[in-house]
Amino acid sequence: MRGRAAAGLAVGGVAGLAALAAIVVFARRGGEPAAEELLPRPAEYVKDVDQSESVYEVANGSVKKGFVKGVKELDWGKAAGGLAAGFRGTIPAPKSGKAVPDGWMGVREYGPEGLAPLDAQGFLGVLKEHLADWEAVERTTWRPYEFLLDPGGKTAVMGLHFGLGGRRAGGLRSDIAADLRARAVTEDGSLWRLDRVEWVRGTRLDATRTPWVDVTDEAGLHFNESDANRALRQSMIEDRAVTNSGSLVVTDWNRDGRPDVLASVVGGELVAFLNDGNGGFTRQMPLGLKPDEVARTYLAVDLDGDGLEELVGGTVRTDRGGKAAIPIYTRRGGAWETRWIAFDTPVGLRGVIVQALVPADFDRDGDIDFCVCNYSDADSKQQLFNRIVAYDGADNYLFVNQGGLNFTEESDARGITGTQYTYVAKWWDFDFDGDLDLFEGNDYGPNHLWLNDGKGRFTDAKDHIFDADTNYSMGVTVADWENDGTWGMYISNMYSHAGNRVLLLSDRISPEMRRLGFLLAQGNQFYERNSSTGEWRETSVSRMVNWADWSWACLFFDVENDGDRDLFVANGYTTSTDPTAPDY
Amino acid sequence: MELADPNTYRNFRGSWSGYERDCLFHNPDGREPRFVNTAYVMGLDFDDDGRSAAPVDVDGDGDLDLVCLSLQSLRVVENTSPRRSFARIRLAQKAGKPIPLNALVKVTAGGVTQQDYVRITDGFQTQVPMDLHFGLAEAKRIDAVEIAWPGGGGVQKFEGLPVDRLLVFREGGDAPSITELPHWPAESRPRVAPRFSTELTARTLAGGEEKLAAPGKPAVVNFWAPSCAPCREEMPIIASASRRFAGRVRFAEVSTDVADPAHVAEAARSFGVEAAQFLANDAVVRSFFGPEKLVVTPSTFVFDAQGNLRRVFQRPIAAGELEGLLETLLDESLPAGDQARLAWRLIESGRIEEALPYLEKAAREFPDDALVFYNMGIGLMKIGRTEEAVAPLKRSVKLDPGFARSRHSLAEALRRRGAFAEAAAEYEEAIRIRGDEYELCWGLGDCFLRLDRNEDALLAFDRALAMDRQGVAALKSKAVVLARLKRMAEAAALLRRVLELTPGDEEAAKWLEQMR
Repeated sequence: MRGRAAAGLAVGGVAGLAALAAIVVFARRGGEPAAEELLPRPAEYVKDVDQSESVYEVANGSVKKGFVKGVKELDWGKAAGGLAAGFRGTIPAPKSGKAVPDGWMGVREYGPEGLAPLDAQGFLGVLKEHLADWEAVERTTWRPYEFLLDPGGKTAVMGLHFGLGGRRAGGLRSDIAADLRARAVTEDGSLWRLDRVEWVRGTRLDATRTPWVDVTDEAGLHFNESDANRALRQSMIEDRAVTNSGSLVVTDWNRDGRPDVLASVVGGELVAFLNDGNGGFTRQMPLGLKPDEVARTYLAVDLDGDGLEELVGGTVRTDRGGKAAIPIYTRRGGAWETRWIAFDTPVGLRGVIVQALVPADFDRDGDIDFCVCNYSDADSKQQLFNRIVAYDGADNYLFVNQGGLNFTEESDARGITGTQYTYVAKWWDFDFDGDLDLFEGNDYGPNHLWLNDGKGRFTDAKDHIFDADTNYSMGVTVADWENDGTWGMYISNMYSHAGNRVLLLSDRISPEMRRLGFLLAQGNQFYERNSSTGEWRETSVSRMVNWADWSWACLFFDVENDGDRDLFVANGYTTSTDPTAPDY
Repeated sequence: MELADPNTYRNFRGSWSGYERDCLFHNPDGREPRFVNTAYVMGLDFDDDGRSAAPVDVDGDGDLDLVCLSLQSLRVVENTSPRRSFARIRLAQKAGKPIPLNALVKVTAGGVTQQDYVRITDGFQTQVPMDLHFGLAEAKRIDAVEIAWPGGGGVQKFEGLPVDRLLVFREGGDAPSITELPHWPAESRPRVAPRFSTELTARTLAGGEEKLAAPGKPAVVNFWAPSCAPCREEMPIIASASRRFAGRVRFAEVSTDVADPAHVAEAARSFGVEAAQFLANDAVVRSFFGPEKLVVTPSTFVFDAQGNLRRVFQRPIAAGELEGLLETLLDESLPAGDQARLAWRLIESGRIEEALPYLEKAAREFPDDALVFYNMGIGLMKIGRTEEAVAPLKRSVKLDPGFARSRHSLAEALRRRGAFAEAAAEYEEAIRIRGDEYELCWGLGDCFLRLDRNEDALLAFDRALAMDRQGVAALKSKAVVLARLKRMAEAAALLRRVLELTPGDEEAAKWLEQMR
């Protein structure tokens, strides 16, 4: 077990997790400049974060109450009231732009080319054309990632994500999403109107159907859904007493050929929903675990080669004497039996939080080993809340299968070291040399690529692009998503519009912090491998998959069986029941 | 924005990246290779606090559905995309070999070669199915499947395979086994999700008009008709469940055959169902089957006690199926471990009376859990029921003798009820476990004070004051001891110190006045 690094990288004068959340990401804006640049970036703007952000709250709130709300309510008078005298704006007509062939959805892309500035009436007229057959606007997005306040305090230039989603006649859905630049002006400091809007780039979608249907109720896949349970969960969410509460396992648990679902809540329960093959699921408590025995994460995999899955629990039982153990549940004669896999730990270790269990036969000896990704232990709390990079997380484990459900913990012996806040890992042959390497995705610090020497020993590929500086990585997925033989790896991180604005302004951030902030700027990451050179490059911005908010699950799969892979990202950190409550 | 306070996040109540909506980056055909977020138009932009997710064909219809576990709920979202060809590929282990993780599979069909690899973990904290799924668009046949087996298993190639099947390849095998996917029967799929209004009424067989629902109980609403053979087959199962759960679950039988109520009544009687008997009407049919009124018999809708739909069967129910579901509905109000958690949160927010029933349930469920009894004890103390608090606290200490907080609370409860010697012993044990703490030392001193063990009390108060030199209670108590020991000047000095710290302390002022 390698000792902890002495200290993380301090966040200068800006401290706290709040700061981290805010400074997480600086969005990249792509796209070419508009034909007529309505809004050149101002040479002078307010760089005091407090001043700029306090004006931002007022200005953006005012714009949202005026123009944006008017559009949402299809109240064109109100929308017009949100535009200032002398307004000029560019917006593409619905039939302009470029139609993108797609099997079953209308996709049209619009760049800035050829867009002439319109006055308020003309601008709203084009917007109305877009929404002509909409019965209601159900989604609005107006989220500035840039706010440059004129020192005089009367005008501000914004860069922002804009979006509208609504139902057309017959319930079909449409969506308009765009990067905009806009200028807001005020006379009295409270009422702000838009006097310039510049379309940078955008897309319109017209679905011919809405294929995803929530069938949880019909199928009976209910988990923790009584009123009392919901109230408890929500109170824990709002107090942020829970950040990730359990795991999901999809496997053929009862071996009847159909996929079943296991869901757990740490310290709560582990429930098996058995697919009845007839329209739903039947609930079972498979192991009869007591709440304090329920782990945060589980892995169902055959570890002893008998063709039956074991269940590995992501929990570490420790004593103060330097011994620890993790549970493996195995089927013996129709009943479940618990085996504890013991291993040595530093004396005094306790409170280890396990985030993931990731299997592979990395040493190619014909059995399944597994990596245990650990986030923190009881001594880890010091660096986390004041630093962007923290090395006081927890040691990861590598359990090497010795047969007969015996394992040895060999992470250090095989070269996998460090005590970071690990959320995820992926076994894959990243250097295409025929053995499995290990990608380690960490919160609060650099990720690591541990390269396998072919004999099951690892070295940290420190110069690899995957190891590049700080990340807040949560999930990872790998796919040849467009069938060109090129593999891509997508990593879910965090994106923050507020962090974007602040990072641009603050002159109190140290140069190193700013550098890290910009590295974090791209939100989620997408690395693609050039099959001819073998180089990996980061393409999340050009692929337009960097902005997915505070992301967790990320999965490539083919949604509509059209032969290429789409990408799903689940997101959101903690949501208050009160939609008017403030949000970081 | 001032972000200097590292505790800001602790005090912040609201959302933190709240209401964010999931993204589905669609890979459009023929587009310059960029994705576009289609989550809203495709119906997948949930605003839960998303965490885990797995693509899985739960209904076996050949496309991937999605199961999502968020902080709020577990969802299954069905993919109803138009049918297109696919290949489902399962790699089976050779006897004695491990599952073929990281095997590489290439599928060629319709002029396109796709590749994927075998894994069982993906994304975030999720185990995904090991089967690989390839969408094949309009291809009618798979030209080739190439498998690079891990662990030196070599590469195998198979040609000319059918689409839309489960293909199971065994390492070294000559050919895959080819089977249909096990799929949910079309008739098992509900056509609409009903809205179950508690105001919904229907005519009963007895002739009156009654509400279908009975608030506060789970409900089973079964649509049937005497002329429907599957309904008649199913009815003994419903009857059995209705008798077993009589009084705990509301059973409502709704006949879609309304022309001859007497015949319906006779048929219903013959099955012995313990249920309210109704005749369907337009509002009921619309509510359960949608505006098109596409009634399916038999159909059974199960609701929980809060009126939330929990399961739809649009097919005859199998034996045991309904009873199993009802058992979980009655049991699952809150898992026992969560009852203890909820109780603690209620105690923290001062809602003690609400917390106690949960604690009592948890105590029955976990008679060996020291924390449950500790929570019960301090909850009772907070509402002044100190006498009652002693027993659970003693239980907690007995279950976990090293649990210092529990000992402290027990000592406090004993002290409050005047059992000073017993309390002192608990304080001493808590101090032994946790070391000197102000509250513990003061409590111990107070016990000694009341037992007239003045010298011991003095020592205890000094230990308390070593922890907190401005501890008013300890200063005052020590002053009392000193006064008893006739050390008036020292006592007066302490009381003056108290008045410096809390000028309004009338007790200290009064004592000082008396000493003068």
